[in-house]
Amino acid sequence: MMGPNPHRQGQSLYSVAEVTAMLAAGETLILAAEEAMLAALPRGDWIGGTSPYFMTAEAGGTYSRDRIFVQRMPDIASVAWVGMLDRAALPDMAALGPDNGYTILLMPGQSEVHRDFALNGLEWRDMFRRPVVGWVTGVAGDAAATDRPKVFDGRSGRSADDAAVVLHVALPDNAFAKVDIVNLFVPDMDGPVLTFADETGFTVERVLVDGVPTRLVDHIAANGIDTRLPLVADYNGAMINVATAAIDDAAGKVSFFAPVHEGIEYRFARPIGEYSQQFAEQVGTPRGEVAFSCNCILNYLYAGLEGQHTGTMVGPATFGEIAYMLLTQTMVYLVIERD
Amino acid sequence: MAASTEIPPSGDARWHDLLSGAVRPMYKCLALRILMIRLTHAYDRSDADRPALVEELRGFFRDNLRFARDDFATIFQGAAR
Repeated sequence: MMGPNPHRQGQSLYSVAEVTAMLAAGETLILAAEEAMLAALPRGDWIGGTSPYFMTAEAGGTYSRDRIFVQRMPDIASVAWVGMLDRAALPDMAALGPDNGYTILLMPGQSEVHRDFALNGLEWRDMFRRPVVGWVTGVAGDAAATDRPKVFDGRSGRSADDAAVVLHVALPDNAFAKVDIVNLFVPDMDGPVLTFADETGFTVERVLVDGVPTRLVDHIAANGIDTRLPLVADYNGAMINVATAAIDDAAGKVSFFAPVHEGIEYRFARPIGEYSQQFAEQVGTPRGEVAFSCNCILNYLYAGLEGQHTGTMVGPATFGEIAYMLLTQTMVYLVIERD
Repeated sequence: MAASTEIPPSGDARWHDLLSGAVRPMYKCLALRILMIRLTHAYDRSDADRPALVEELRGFFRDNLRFARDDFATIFQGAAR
């Protein structure tokens, strides 16, 4: 049963006309939809990215090509800065933000800004000065050959497949933002430790399996590993996934939706049971006002979430999630708390 | 609030204990869990600018103390050394 949730009020799917009315009323919106829906909107205080998959309170997992998922900026918040940043400017994005607040970052999938952020974002100046959340945009599977993942800046009316859109949100002194994640995957401690030394990044051939060099494709085949299960690394207690994107047997290479890094120990994840139920149990009811959330398209697809509810969290299903760094197969949320 | 809590000075040995991995608290907040992976790896390099890494960690607590307060208390209970 999904009763009314005061924390999620107004965060759902709407028509172009309904979103246009919200903008006319002065709302600041974070939007997700197919490109044609976002392109039909008037200029205003909104940012958006392409995705036709959503987790909604009303219908659970939903696929829609003619509606727009709306996340409203909270009433106590204000826009500190919003705009597009290209590959050269994005590493300095933190300098444009407020003293107190948070940042929402949307990046086109398969773009250079996506790649740069994934590989180097943690090194960018002042990236931990305030919470950073966001997601990677994408397109529906049947449109992958013709459409490009895009981001939109409503103020300028621009869209881009090679730049990020950044919304720096300011909060009053009596409030603060906090980011957390929900990740049901944990490393299978019965499995070997995988490390990457000579090759890192989005595509690799070689891996050290408990210190022994081998080809990752051979390790996967020899052990019958279900690559819908991500690699998981323990970041001081935070389980960080790296999801497999493709296996190229001919080339002997494995590609990922996020990079593997040198110096990090990975294991493939243990299988999980009923995703939607476990997810709802783990997320519980976060303290504070949920101002932003998103969940990975791979969770949506692999766990069969269409029509399934996952507790109180709603938002777009995304092609990479951002909580300071690029994540995969993870739900990210940001809450606003008051002193 | 950050203004009402004194962040230990950069000379406090506990910063180096954290960054070297000599002390490994169970961090609670996501931001610190992720940041400390990067900082401890950087600190371990032979060419590390360790004073700059200490300053970065001090800056993190200065900027984010309201949600990192529990971790700060775990690390810095007692007087600065």
